[in-house]
Amino acid sequence: MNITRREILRFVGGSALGILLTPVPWKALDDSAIWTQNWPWIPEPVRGESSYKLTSCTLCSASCGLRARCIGNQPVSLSGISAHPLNSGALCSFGIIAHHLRYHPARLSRPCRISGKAGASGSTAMAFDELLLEVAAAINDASASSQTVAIVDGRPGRTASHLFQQFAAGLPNGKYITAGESSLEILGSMFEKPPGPLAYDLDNSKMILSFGVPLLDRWGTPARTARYLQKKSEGKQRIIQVETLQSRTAGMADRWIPIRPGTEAAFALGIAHVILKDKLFRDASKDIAEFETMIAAYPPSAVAEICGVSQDFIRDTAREFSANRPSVAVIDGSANSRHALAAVMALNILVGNVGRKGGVVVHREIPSPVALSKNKMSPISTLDAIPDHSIRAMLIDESLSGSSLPDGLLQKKLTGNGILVSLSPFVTERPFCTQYVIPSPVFLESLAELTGQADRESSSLSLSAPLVPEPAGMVDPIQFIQRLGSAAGVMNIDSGTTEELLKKRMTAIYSEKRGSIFNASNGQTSELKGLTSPDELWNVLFAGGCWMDSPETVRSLPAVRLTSVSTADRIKNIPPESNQLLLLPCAEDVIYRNSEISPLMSKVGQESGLRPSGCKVYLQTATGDALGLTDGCRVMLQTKKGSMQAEVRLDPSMMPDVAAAYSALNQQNIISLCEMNQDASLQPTPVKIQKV
Amino acid sequence: MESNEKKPRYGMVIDLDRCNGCGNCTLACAVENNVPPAHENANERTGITWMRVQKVDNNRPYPENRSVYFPLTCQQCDHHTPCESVCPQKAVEYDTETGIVAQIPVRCLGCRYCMTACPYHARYFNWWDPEWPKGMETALNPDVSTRMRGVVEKCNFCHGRLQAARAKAAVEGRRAIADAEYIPACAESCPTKAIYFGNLADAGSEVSRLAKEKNSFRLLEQLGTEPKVYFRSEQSWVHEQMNAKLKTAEKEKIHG
Repeated sequence: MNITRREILRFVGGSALGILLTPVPWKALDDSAIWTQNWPWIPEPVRGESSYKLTSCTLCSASCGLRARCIGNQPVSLSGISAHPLNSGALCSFGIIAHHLRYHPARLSRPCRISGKAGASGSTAMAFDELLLEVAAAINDASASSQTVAIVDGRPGRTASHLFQQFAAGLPNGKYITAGESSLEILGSMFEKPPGPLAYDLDNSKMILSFGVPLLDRWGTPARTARYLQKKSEGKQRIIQVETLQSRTAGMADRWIPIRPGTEAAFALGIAHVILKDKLFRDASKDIAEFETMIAAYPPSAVAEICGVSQDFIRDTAREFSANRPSVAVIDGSANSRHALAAVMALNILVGNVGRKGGVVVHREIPSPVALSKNKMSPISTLDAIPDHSIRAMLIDESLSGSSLPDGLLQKKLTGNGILVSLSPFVTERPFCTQYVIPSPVFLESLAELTGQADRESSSLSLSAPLVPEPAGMVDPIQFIQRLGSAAGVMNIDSGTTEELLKKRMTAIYSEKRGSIFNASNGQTSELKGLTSPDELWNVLFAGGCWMDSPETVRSLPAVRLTSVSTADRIKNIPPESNQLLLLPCAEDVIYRNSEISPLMSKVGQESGLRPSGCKVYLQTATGDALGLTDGCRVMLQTKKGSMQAEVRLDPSMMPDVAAAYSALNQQNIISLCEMNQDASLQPTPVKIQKV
Repeated sequence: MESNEKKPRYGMVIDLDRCNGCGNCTLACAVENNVPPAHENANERTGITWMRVQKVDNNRPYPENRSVYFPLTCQQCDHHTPCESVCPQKAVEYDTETGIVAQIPVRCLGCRYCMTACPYHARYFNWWDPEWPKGMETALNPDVSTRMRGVVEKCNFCHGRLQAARAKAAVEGRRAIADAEYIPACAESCPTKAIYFGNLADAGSEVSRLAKEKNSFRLLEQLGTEPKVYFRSEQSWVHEQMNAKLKTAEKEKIHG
């Protein structure tokens, strides 16, 4: 049989056509789609049996109870404990992805020294013992030359905090500094004697007058918005938000009063003026007449001009604030001058909100055996009280995120050869000094203690249990201060491991038999005295529970000095010149830059906002039109401090004549263009905007 | 409860007056469904976020300007589901038992017809292989597979959670599942309780009651696709804006 070339071609062609009529090509297509989706480099989830563990979040002092779903020992998701009295099942956007923190690219694995300019080139890894010796030498040098050694605590009230106080007390010029809620610290300083730890009792307040505090988005417990909406529907709570920008809180509040940037103090003093003139006050301070004279320059007519609002807003707010007791005035301590904080706190004093349920309350001290030990403790100081350029060595505990002090203020306080020692899970570079960074465990890796509640009627204490093993070489705050004390010859620090010291504290709390205890395992809250032993208390807290102190009984408070509100730096009527706007530095993009968040937080913002595309400046549409600017165009921002390019966004919600600027990632910070107050808070700064 | 007589139609009502734009829904969704962090080259069109929170304002100048936050996700069209009807690969599946429109990535060829057809821009294409920071892949949800470059993905009302609830019910000898047993991650994580989820076919359910309220509406209702995601607001300007045109203040402005 002869096979011709033509027959071969026919066979091949027929086969090719025939195969198309079979399932083979379609199956191959389908399978190839599946195969190509199973490349070995595509991560696959680890399978295994699910279990649930209960603990408390350490990311802020809200101490939310949470439930971790684990595969083996690995947490794969977090959710709130619905019956928890502090967070009612709600978690914030940082907390809901906090189990990713241990994988953050900026995680620090070894102690290091960072000197010169910020950047990897200036960073040197070193052994912990070697680092301790260098820091101890600097501390001894400071002691010999009568320079200050300061230890800054972002979460006061912990057992570690008491050890820090002992360390500071053991040095000739040691200072223990807290970075808590500064508005309450200001209020505390207005009393003739320290009244004790102060807190806002927001849940029991009938009216909250908020000066820029993000009450309904990220301040304090994430459950507040749901609680507020419920109370609002029942007519039990009102929020008035005084703020330049239409923030999320401003958008949800009962009333939003937009004022010019930096005029919070003037607005508060205007309200105080109305309260005094209309005899709406309930305070009997000795110096009230003197205070009235001091603020005579702030009648509603003048304040309306300064703040850019109607006089009626000022009068109505004053009357409402006074009539709806218990009410409370709150202000964002991190973004305002001490002058503004004092002016707002004076409102609380004037209408008798201090020491009153629903106003500003005094918390009872949480029992601590360390605080009562024979070792002396340093008193609490503030950074403001320390002279500039006097701190030779500053130790900062950043192992738990929370309140922090602005870099500008830290820089001002350090001597020329000053060092900064930071205990942190992440690389935190401050370019103005030699910095030592010691790696600490991150959330879910170590035993941590949570105290506080600056927004609740009474304080609480929770424990965060380690759910995953910590990497080698991590140092917790108690180990850190004990070993540094030993290296520097400071011997008056209580000994014991973190667990031993915390267990002693449980015994001290148990022996007081006060307060209530929430058991996360069964969702029940009961009296502490119903527990049978300190070990039982420990076990309940270790499993996501929470101890809540009983509220302080009403007692007479020390006398208060209203005249400590300074009116010296009276806010001028701004903007000062034509063709100038007021520059308002904003911090929204900071959430993407902050190392203390999961990389997944990149999902929340716009993708373009994640790239170093330069600063963005938001202008009112009419303001932009008047300057000949269009949405998306590039401009030069020029202030007395410098200049910077930015991209324009026109936004109808913006106040006229205000330029709200957001720094972009890895770019020059907008703050460098702003003028600073003596206390390192930012002043609204005139800015010229020119198209480039 | 799932009814033997009437099949469930799972749906959602989002109360815009309660949403504070915190982004918890976006993040909980990403954790539940193993959506990776944004790729370094991603922009607003190419990034993947099954649930995006967009800011919408009344377009009035200061000080009358007001805004709300809109969590936008797949609207789970119930009628002539556009993405399903155009998919050549049957990679989009409308589940007649639940009304859930699901995406089956392993069938997807990446033609993106479905993205073109979707009136809500709720579908996302994987332009890059998924990547997590080193070690973070150990924290992925084992109930949901990762997807590779070249396929489309979208919200499926956390279908894995429905399967888990059904499996649990089966083990316990039940055919029906209770409403509380199946809640998508976004609804579960919302701290302000702005997202209600449940069976729209159950006249007694909270979600069904809210969907029928006069303050509730659906996006692009005039297209007739019967979306199962409802929004509600007591602010009249929100309804006026929706009737005119959905104007997004942020996400539709591409500056990437």
